[in-house]
Amino acid sequence: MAERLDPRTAAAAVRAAGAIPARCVDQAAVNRLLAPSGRQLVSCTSRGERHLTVRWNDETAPVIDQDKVVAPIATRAFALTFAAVLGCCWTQPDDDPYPGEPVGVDEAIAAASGQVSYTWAKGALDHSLSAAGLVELDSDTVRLGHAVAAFTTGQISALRRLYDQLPRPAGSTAEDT
Amino acid sequence: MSALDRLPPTAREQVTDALTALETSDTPLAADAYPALYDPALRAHVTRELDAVGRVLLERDGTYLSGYADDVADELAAAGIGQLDETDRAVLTLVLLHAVAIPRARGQTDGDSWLDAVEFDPDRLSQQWSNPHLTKKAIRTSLRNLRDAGVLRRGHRSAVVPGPQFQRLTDARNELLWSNLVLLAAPDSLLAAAIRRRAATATGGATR
Repeated sequence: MAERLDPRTAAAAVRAAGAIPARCVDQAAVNRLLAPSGRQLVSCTSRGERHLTVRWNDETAPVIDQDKVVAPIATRAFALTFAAVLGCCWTQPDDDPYPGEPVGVDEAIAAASGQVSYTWAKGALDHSLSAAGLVELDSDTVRLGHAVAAFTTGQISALRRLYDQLPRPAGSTAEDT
Repeated sequence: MSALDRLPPTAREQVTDALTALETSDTPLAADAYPALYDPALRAHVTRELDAVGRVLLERDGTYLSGYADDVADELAAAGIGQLDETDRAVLTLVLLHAVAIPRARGQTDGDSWLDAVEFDPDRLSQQWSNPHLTKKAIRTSLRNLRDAGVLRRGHRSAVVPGPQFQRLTDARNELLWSNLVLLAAPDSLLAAAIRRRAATATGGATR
């Protein structure tokens, strides 16, 4: 993706790709288009390059109400493995979880062990969580992905209340971080 | 100031509520649950705001969802943005062939939607179609990718069927996909000949 996109196409491209290189986008122009629907572009980093992803404002963020809006339900392996990555990468609870710190893949999987098997956790990291943009894998390390950069402040507050309960490797506690 | 800003606060909130739901729901929305979809004047605002970000409002049987505008989808595809990779596309084609095209040709389904499908055991794909270029492992990986992307969904047990993303296709996209499936499944049929003629007329050139 080398060319600069017109703002309308760029807004759609961010949805299609999850995040696109910042150099391809006039951020202010796209934000003007996204603002009426309560969204904005926020920065994230992917493969060492600055990217942009879309974040809902708190007032307009989706609220799942299965009577009206149907959302996919995360599998147990997906949810627990992501919780483990979040627990390992989010080292400063007073800060936002993104970008956090990269950790070893084995360390993240160890944090999930006891609740989800190695095979299922590795499968979730390699496929579902990567595809969802929740994690980014780089050889033997894992970091939080662009979808975490898109968490709203309300979602982050909810996660912060659960910070001490996030899975972490044996011998490590929230107080260590 | 956008047209939306000139609306009273309640109406503006109703439009943004509808936009959020349209852009995130896995299933089409009932108009009576959203004032901005039920009311034509407010619905025009929804349509305008979606168009501003390269999206369109799709209406089917009184329910609504959003999708990519055709011109934007063409641009994204040309730029290689948000595309399925070659193997995933091949596996998806096989699933559509077995879950939709063949059952429809046999009269086993009634509707004309991609979701009017017969659940299909993915093991049959590996048994029938795996070869050195499309291995069993590659088929399994693609099925998982397609499920993760909402292009396929799980049916009963391990069966697969077309997933919620098919509800976000415009009529033009649906027709193009169906035409391509006809060209693949019945290349010598009268329907395939008509599709090729129509494509040749549309592009002003010859196509097979």
